[in-house]
Amino acid sequence: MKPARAARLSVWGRIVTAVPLGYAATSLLVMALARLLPGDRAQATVLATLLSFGIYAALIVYVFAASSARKAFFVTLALAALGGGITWLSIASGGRL
Amino acid sequence: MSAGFRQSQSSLHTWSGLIVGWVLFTIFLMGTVSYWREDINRWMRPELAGAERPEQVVAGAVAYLRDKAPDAKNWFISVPGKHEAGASLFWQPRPVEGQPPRRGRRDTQALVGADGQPLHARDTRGGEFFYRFHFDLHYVPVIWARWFVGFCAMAMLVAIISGVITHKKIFKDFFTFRREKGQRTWLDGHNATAVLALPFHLMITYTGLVTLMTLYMPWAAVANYSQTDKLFDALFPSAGEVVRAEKPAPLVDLVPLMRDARARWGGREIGTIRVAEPGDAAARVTITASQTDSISVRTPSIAYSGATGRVIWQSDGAQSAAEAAGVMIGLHAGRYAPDLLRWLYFLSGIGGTVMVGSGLVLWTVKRREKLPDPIRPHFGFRLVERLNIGFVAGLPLAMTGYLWANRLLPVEMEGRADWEIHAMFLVWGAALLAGFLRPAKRAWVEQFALTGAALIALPLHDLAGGRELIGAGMAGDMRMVAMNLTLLVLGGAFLLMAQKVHRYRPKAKRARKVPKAPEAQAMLEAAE
Repeated sequence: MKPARAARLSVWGRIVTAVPLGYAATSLLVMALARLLPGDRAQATVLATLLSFGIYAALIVYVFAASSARKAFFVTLALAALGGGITWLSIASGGRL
Repeated sequence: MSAGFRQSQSSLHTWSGLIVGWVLFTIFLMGTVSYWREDINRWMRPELAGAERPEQVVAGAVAYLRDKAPDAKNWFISVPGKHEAGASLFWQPRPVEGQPPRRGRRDTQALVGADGQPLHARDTRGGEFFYRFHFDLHYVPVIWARWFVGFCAMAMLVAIISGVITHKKIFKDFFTFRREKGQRTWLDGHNATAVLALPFHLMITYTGLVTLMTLYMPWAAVANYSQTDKLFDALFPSAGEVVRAEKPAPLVDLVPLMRDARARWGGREIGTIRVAEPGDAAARVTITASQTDSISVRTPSIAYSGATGRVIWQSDGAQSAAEAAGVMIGLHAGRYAPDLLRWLYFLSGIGGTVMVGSGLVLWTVKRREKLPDPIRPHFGFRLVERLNIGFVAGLPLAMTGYLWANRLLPVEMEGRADWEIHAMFLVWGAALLAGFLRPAKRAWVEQFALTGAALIALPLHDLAGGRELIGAGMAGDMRMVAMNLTLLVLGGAFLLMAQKVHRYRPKAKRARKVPKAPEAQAMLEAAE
């Protein structure tokens, strides 16, 4: 592959990883956070939501700073799986209000 | 910090900033002028007299509603602030079986004065239009607009963070301003406006996202609740639905209730009053405090029986996280801010607008020198250069056009308020078009100069009409006078900008020893 083509592929890979996948990963992490934060459920929900934009922004900065687009993709996927897994386990065991 | 990391963030900053830059410029400018929303409302309704005492206005509003909608389901009264004339009110008619509830009809709202009569003013959306456009846009469904604006705000947040990372000498550069040095000057200007109000930009972008967070990020609620309504019930407890007693009972006088509520809140101003089931024995009056006396927009409310005037329910203080959300939204909207702080908000907003605008211009300035053929730049460059004109210079011109339409359209014209808005978009469209058709530099000068002249001519037009500027000043209506003076100053600033751009002569390009494009390509291939 020519370097220009590889660079373009890397940029598009990062954009797809950062914007839609990053939003999905953020959402799942925020869901996990809303389950795990102690105290009143309504307060935990609001706090997790308030933090979500910071989490998303940090994730986007990471995706563009990572050494390769491939690595950024798998790290984001792993974070999504982590958030999704915690949320699923927590809802399956504790249920929702 | 590694050079590679900073480089990656520099590209992220450049491109995340560019793709949404024009929208951000629009959002920033519209939001900034919205800090003077009430004053723009006032200025665009010159027929209105000054403010009256809130209690008398509420009494007038009740008299009007008793006459006009005695059997409505709900009355809503916005108690006027210190500088507002009349109470804006609307009512919800009793729903008829089998008919969908009516929404947003013009015949169920009014602006009523202390005498219980509707105030007569020209039909206009006033400053509300700028405020709504700032997150709802116009001509497009609101929900799409909000998602689009949210996407742009998120890009702004990323551009701010990556911009700070890119900027290694953040404080040193802040004190550096190299005048008349082309690209360096643009860069320094961009840096100065960005760093000067950096906490403001970060705060305003983050809190802006928070204002619509339940739209953008509903997932935390989904994780904890089977229905989102349950979250809202927990966060915003209320006295519950009113069940009609089907027994008529006269509504108590609202003025003593207002005094009681103010006393319980230590003298806070009243924001809104809702009367549910007026005229029924089960009627309920809910009084909510104004947002002008606390940073948080989560203001307390008290419910009274509409038949006896007894307190039947009081809100508790919000809990920590919910209070934090209320404070963040309050910080964004700045409704709590007295005039001096309001000016700081306004100037910081102008700083943010200039930051976005100078960033957009910087994109072209940086690339112009490196163009393979500066006489015929490639399509992308021309597109950015021309759109910059239509937004950075064209939008202020269009907004000035909106104010002019307010003065020039016939007062009794059908659909007048809508035509003021159409006029703004017509001017904007013309400015965008002119940006593409005219030589670039001349287009900048023309649009800045026209904006400046049009802004200065506004108070002069009123002065020639003899009424508003002097008349208002004589009547002690200092808000009107301040708005006119501000228009004059802004107009002067635009004329100054036009003059600067007009006089600007790019330095003769140094002959640089860069390999020509084909040679560079050959070198790259040789290296492979």
